[in-house]
Amino acid sequence: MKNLFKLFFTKKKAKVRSIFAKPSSAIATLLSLLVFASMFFPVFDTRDKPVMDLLTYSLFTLFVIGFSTFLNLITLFQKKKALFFEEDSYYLFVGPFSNRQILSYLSVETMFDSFILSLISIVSPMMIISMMAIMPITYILFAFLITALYNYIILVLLQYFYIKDMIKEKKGNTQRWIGLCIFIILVAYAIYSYFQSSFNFTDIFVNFTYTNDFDFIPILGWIKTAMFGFYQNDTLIVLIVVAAFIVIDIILAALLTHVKGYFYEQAMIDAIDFSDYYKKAMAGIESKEEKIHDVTINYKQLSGAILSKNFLIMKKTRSFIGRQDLYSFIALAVFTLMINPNVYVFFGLLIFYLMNSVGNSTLSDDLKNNYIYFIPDKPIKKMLYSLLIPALKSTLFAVTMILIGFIFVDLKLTETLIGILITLSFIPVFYAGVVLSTRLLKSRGNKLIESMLHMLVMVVICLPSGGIAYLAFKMTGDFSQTITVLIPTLIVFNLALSLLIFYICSPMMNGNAYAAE
Amino acid sequence: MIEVKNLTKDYGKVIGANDVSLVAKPGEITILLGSNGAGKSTTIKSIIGLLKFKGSIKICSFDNMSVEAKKRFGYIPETPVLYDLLTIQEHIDFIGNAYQIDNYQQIADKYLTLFKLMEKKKTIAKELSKGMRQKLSMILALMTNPQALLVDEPMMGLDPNSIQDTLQILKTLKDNGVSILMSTHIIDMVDDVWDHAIIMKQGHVLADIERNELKDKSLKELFFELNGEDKEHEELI
Repeated sequence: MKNLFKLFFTKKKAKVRSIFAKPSSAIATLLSLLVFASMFFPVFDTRDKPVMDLLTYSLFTLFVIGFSTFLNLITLFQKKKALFFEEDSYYLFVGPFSNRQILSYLSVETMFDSFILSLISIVSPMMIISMMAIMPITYILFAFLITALYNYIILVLLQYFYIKDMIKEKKGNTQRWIGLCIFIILVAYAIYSYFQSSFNFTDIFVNFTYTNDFDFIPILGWIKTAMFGFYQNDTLIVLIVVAAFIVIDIILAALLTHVKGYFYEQAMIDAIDFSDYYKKAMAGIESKEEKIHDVTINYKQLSGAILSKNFLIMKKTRSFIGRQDLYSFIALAVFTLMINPNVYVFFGLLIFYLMNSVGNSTLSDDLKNNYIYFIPDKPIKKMLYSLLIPALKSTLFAVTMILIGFIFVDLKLTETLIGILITLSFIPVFYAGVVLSTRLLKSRGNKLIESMLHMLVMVVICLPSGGIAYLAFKMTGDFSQTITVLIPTLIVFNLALSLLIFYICSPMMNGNAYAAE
Repeated sequence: MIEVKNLTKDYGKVIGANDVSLVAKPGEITILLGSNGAGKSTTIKSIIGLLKFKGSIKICSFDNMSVEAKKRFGYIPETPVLYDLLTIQEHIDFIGNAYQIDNYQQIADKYLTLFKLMEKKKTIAKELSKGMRQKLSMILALMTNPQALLVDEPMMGLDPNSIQDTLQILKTLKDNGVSILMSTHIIDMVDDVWDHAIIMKQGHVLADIERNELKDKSLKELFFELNGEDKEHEELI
């Protein structure tokens, strides 16, 4: 058992070592830590703030319960589950460890997870409330402790029922039922308070603060009891509730570590699946479980086969637009409809989206595909065929968004047409940016560096077009006067620049320019 | 000794192993031969406890799921499973302590030298080449001084010198009384070292044969005779 804990700490040490192994990752981590630490600053800034009263503390309690429950519900409802990552599963299940030892190790790992979850769930309430009133650090520490004890109950229950389901060799939904129960209890409390407070929504919070009704909800209500007891210096109440939480935690941990039965096979399958999902998520790869349809296609010859292949994938997955694209599209459309931004903000957002989305297109995969390198055809043709579907997607997205803008953002017809032409002229430039940055970075990069370089290169190669537009504006002092000349100039210039970049980088499609020297 | 009796593994859609019985004796190299999908990996994974099965498996007379059995066998998987961020030395420390091996560093150093990994002790697994990862995986299994060794396609990713070294190590272990059960589909590679062969096809054991029982036939000939493809296949070739 001692060795497993040693392994636990060795892994954490190795993680830190890996973060600081490269300057770029060390700087990024330190910056993130700095941002995280800055969230705590309002706690120490007591200038011009009142001392926290019961109502503010009650709001803090409500937020803490809300955030931690929200995170727990996400955990309870998530589809992908695993006891451990693949490596841990392998050494634990094959190595000289008993079930009891393995599950004890799991219970300790779960404790660590519940502390992390607790930290995440108190940060936002702490930030919000500490801006309103002086918040003693002891309140934060106590909230951290009590939510960690609460999280542990939920997480251990989740693991327990998951293992039980694996032993029974059936896919159970017990943890989802637990989640649903928590959700129903909270909704029931809200409805009850709504009736209690003479049908006034704002009085639900008053009811939460000044009555003991919420305290009667098992576990969730006890968090409030303990936190209010702590605020009112009621040591006995605090001790009783904390002791109750600890006793439940210990009982559940004992229950977990004493589970009997065989579960290694499914646990290993899930561990491999989850580890793969996690690695992909960390690399920024969208992991989807999509239905594959049985379709056929007539293949074009030579480079045309690339287009056919991309078209076939699209037909098989029935996904002309990916899930991420769809979400972005909806977000941008909703933003346009709700906020009613001006024409510049609207086009700015659209351009930003296009710059971002082109980096995630199938083009990036085709640039790194061995099979494409070996097609006996001109590299520039291979590149253009690889570009066709992604470019068509971007074009359709841009035109649809601008048409939505035309209807809902009060764009004039001429503005709409000009917007469509200028945006379309930049789409090949953005793709040229992807090609050029992939050529520059070769196979050295990771997802983050790749995205950053894509953006940078795209901005740089857009600069000449921006310069042309600026010069035109400087010379005439009015865009509208020169627009008839400016638009064709931009279109021709952008297209020529893109084609030039595609041509220069086209040897990549033969594979001899991608691998890093 | 590894004893498998009436092992059946039903995946639902397909039966991975169908009433498989075998014995890998101490001081012998037993090879599991078969094409892809023959049931070799299913058999080995059932023995090491990663699959639920019907039947009984004993390792050195202990039930395969017991800690006693787990202490006595080593397993070299087809694809090495390593902690990407841990160094070679940290892997060795973990296994050495987990198996409570007193002089683990000495044993590990012997294999590290043999596999030319001494200089890489502080390198993290993520930065090792495919062959080096395979070698580390072997060291981790061998340093436990196993009485039974299960090896799943051991030569994948190894260079010719390392293959020779590995075969030599297996021979030495065999001479020291270790029961070795190795799955492979490359017959030529194990032709000089095997003592006992089990030929499998579609989850069934087709033949269970000792080296001295093969008279005028080679193992390869027997394998192809038992795994005979149909006429259409021969014509295609």
